[in-house]
Amino acid sequence: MLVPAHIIRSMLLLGVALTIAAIWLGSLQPATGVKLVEHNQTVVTMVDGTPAGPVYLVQGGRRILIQPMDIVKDSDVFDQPLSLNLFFRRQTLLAAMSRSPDARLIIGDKSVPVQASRGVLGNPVSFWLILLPGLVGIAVSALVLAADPKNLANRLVALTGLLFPFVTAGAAIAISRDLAIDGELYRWLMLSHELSATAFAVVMVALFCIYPRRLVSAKLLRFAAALSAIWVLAIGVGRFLEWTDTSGKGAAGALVWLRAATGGSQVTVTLLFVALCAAVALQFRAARRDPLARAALTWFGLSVILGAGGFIALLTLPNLLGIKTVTDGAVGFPLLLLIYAGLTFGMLRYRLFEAKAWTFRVLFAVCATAALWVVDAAMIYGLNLDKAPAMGISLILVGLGYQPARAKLAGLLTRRSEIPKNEMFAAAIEVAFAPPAERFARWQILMRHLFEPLEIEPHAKGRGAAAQIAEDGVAMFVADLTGGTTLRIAYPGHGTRLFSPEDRELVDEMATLCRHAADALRSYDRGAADERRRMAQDLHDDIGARLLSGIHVAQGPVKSLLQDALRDIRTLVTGLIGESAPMSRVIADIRHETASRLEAAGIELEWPIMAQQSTGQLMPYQHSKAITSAIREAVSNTIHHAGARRMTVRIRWDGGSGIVEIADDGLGIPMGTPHGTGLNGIASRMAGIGGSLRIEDHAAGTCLTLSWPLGTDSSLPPKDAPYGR
Amino acid sequence: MAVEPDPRPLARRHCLVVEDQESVRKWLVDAIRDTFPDMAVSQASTLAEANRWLASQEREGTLPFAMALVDLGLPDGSGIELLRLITARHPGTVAIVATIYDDDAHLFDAIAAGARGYLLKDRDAATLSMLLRRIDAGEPPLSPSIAWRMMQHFQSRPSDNLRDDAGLTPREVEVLTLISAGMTTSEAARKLGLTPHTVTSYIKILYQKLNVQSRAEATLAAVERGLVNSGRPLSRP
Repeated sequence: MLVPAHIIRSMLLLGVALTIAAIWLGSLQPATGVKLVEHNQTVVTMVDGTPAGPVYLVQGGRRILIQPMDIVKDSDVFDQPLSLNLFFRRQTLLAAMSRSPDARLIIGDKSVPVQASRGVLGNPVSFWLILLPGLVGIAVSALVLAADPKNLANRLVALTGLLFPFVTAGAAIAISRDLAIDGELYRWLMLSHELSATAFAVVMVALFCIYPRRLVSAKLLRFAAALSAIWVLAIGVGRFLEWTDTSGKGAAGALVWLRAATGGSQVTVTLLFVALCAAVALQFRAARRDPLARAALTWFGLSVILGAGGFIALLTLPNLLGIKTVTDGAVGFPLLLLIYAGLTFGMLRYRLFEAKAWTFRVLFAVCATAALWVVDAAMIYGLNLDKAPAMGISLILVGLGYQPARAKLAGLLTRRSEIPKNEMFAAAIEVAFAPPAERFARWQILMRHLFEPLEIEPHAKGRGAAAQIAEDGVAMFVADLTGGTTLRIAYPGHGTRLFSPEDRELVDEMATLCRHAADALRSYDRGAADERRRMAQDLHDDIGARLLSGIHVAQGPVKSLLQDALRDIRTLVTGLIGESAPMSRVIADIRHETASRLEAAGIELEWPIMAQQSTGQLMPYQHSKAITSAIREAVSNTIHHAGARRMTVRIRWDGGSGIVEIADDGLGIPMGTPHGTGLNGIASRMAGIGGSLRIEDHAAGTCLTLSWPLGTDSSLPPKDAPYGR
Repeated sequence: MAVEPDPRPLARRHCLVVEDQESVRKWLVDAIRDTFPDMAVSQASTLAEANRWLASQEREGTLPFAMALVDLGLPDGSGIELLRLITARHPGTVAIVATIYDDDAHLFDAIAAGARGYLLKDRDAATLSMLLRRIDAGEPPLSPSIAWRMMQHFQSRPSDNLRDDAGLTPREVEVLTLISAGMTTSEAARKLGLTPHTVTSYIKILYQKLNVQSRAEATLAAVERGLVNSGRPLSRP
């Protein structure tokens, strides 16, 4: 019973069943439709502001004068057993007469018929106002229990919620009665109301003794609760015995005496309320260093004190002090709703009672299922109305309209996501083909999609590669594909179900699929790499060899052109084999090549080596190719055209860009000559990677400045690069 | 094509050039003749021809030969096989890789197979001649990427589980570091306060260590697979 949805559904069902029972019982009571009031110690009805009376109930030759005691709302005003018993006997008599078809109410010279039963819609507004808070109370406390079913505080809240409908249901029928209900029924209703209301108060006090902080030990709490239960039962039974055995002897008499002497449940409830205020005050003091607990306490504690206090002030205290009540239960009971309103707000705002973000979603899910039941019930009810002649039409309507509509509604409300077999492979591919950094997140998304859990989080303790069901099916531990991290997935299906062995098999199946897909991708990549290597080999063997033959027969500028082409092929081949290279190695290679070429040409090179600058950063192949080719081209220009004796190269990093300065002390570029293909080539290469070329022509040589954006992601492989290389 | 016997007397130093492209082979042969005028040159265009030449030389007892220039991409196999064979049977021969392809993967394997140096075939005659002379004098070239590869190799393989002690001295590590950062031999020498000759002799030692290591590894692997009795050293013909 740890599934949140089950807890909420069970408690809601109980509440609804109790409410329906109360509505049904209320609908059976007789009604006159006349509002009777007390006027100068007689019962009258007001007609256009003037009293009309006296009022008699007439049936089968009997004629009974309605007395002020008959229209008293709350039986608690009778503090003497004798007057209470008289009240009950008169109620029984009046109710029995009202049920007879010939019963009439005589007001002055008018005669008003009396209904034997008032029907569901005949239940007055006050009835609903008292009854419905009970349903709200049990719903809210069900959420609290679902949030953490094993916590004592949550259980106590749930207990108040379970008691609350009993508090309201009995009072709703008794207080909202029209003229009379059966005295025996009245007695039982008031007994249940009194017992549950006192128990409710006891549980509330107990709750604030342990929540948010434990003020008393569990042992003391249990002892006090047991003592209170015995007390509540004793005065309840005493109350009951008053009606049957007023002057009783022995144990029964003792109980009656005990109740009368202590003032009964009204005094008990008032005392409990004082205890509750004390407990809240102590909690408030204990939480002075914990602002969050204090804020939470302010909400919940204040709403309980206001709700219960208002109720007691309006309904209980006037009876105790012998003052005539100014209001009836229809105002007092909705006040108790304050308690649950405060509780709801506290759960939403301060996560009181370990409430989680999903707690309210579970309520929605449960209500969605309930909505389907209502639709079904309405359908059955509707079919019932159409008797035999309409049967055929009804069946057609069911087939054409109801069934598809219901299926659609069910699909919308209680959708349980399942991946069809043919989509499972696609889902696995999505996980397996994701870049390594994203695979864990994708796997998590897939798990969310498969099980719709309320909680999903990485679990500290690593477990095996196979999925494991834990916590009686509430949670499942699922290993990440690499086996590195374990996920704890809890409350599947929005908290409406438990994990089953089929779920475990599904996860293992998905994991196997993902692993297969990843393996396939790896071997594909290996194959692709082999293929690239073969292409590189062919480039080298065929084109390289031809170029080489050309180099050995060519003369002059063509020869250096071919040499450059061969160097480019070398760079290309390197690029085909491996995409990214550490920046430091790219620079080292081009520096070494430059130094060797200049050494052969008799030109001095000054190219300081920076200490380990951005060594680890990877350079995408496009970048290294462009920079290498650009520097190579610049060096060729210097060797062949500048007549220089010295070349200076500096590389630096300026913020987000790389800068290469290449200077020589040669002739410079003659004025007016268009830039040769060499310089244009450098410029277009730099433009290709978003960089630029600046040419400064001094009397003492040429200076080329290459700059290009390093890019924040240059240390990462490009986004669309397949994974696994 | 058939191996051309060199017309000149065999008392002179002898060189084998293995290269499948005729124009390039001619160019290489010319470069050798220009550099070492007294060197006799034999030519082969495939692995098979080269093997046949080696066998005939061994039969006739005209060995040792001084130098072998081997292309890596031969029509009937990789020149690395031939390098390994020459190193194993003729340790005195200077085996040189002739390639247009100076990426570390190819050259590193060739050096581990026993090459004493490498030539880039697209260089002009003067450079080629200079490089040949240097290699012959025991000054092998070293590019940054190969230096980097060497460093990785020695760092990842602790020497104590190999039979030959092929660990690196601090000086050798320094040389490798400077060259892998893009310095030429002479620059590295200046930086370390050594003569270029000393630096190249370190490089020569590095070449040898790499070769020794790879041979030791091969032996170790053979022992592990039970091909060789661990009590005896790897037999050499």
